[in-house]
Amino acid sequence: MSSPEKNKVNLMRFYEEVINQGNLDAVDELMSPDFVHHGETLFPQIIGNQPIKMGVGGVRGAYPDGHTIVEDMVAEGDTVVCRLSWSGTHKGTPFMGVPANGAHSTWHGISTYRFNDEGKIIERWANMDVMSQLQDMGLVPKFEMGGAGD
Amino acid sequence: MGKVEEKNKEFARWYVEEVFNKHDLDKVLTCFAEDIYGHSLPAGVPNGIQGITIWFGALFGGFPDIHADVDDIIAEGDMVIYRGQMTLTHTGQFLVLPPTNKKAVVPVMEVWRIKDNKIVDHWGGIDTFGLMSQLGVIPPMGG
Repeated sequence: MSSPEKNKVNLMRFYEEVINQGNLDAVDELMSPDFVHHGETLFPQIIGNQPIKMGVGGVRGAYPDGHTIVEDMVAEGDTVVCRLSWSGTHKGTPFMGVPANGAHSTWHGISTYRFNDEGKIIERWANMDVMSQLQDMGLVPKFEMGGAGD
Repeated sequence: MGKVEEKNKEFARWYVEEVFNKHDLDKVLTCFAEDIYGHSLPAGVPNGIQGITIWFGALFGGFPDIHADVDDIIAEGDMVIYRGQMTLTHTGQFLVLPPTNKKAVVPVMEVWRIKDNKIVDHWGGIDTFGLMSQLGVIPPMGG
């Protein structure tokens, strides 16, 4: 049985164990194989939980000190919304084709997660303010309107 | 779901459909507290109701047809979130950006803390990168 409180616990485990510690085995435990990610322009859609393992591995390889903080969680029914902040230094492998340049980046984001009856993540909508990170990587020109949240 | 959550969800739907989508700046301002903290406002926009006035003035001026469609509203305690799609055409000056006359459709998620029927904290908004890509202001990338 899933419940808003249990879903919050599982979401926190996802960020601590998978995202922050890189325990990719926990992906199978916490995320359904039928997982669907509805992203934005940069990463529009991901289907299945296996690409998540590759994605997490790729980010951790490029940003070995990358760390996500879950700032807040709001839950209702089968849904949990979280506010996130991420920071990391590009000192590992190339990322999106860009070699490491030592730039330290941060972004803030909001993600909405839906859980199935087993308490596994089955759907996600993400909105991350990655503009400044892309600018740090030299992929996007510096631009006055880059969102600067806190 | 408790009464507070139900009331906040009603407020969120009313705000999007009857206030924001009608571009009624005076009414928008009545939905925010005087000391509203906009955690995701762009650099250079001040906080408080003054910043909200500037921000919504820029939005409605730059994108006179801006329209939000709500896909979901989630509430717990004094927090409420709406998730949806924002459709707009950039036909006016938007802050530093002269009009591109391009249309964009971008996902939106806003997180609000509500007190006394007013928004006191605000996080999130639209996919800025997506917006700037679709307007052609930055080169398209990703996939």
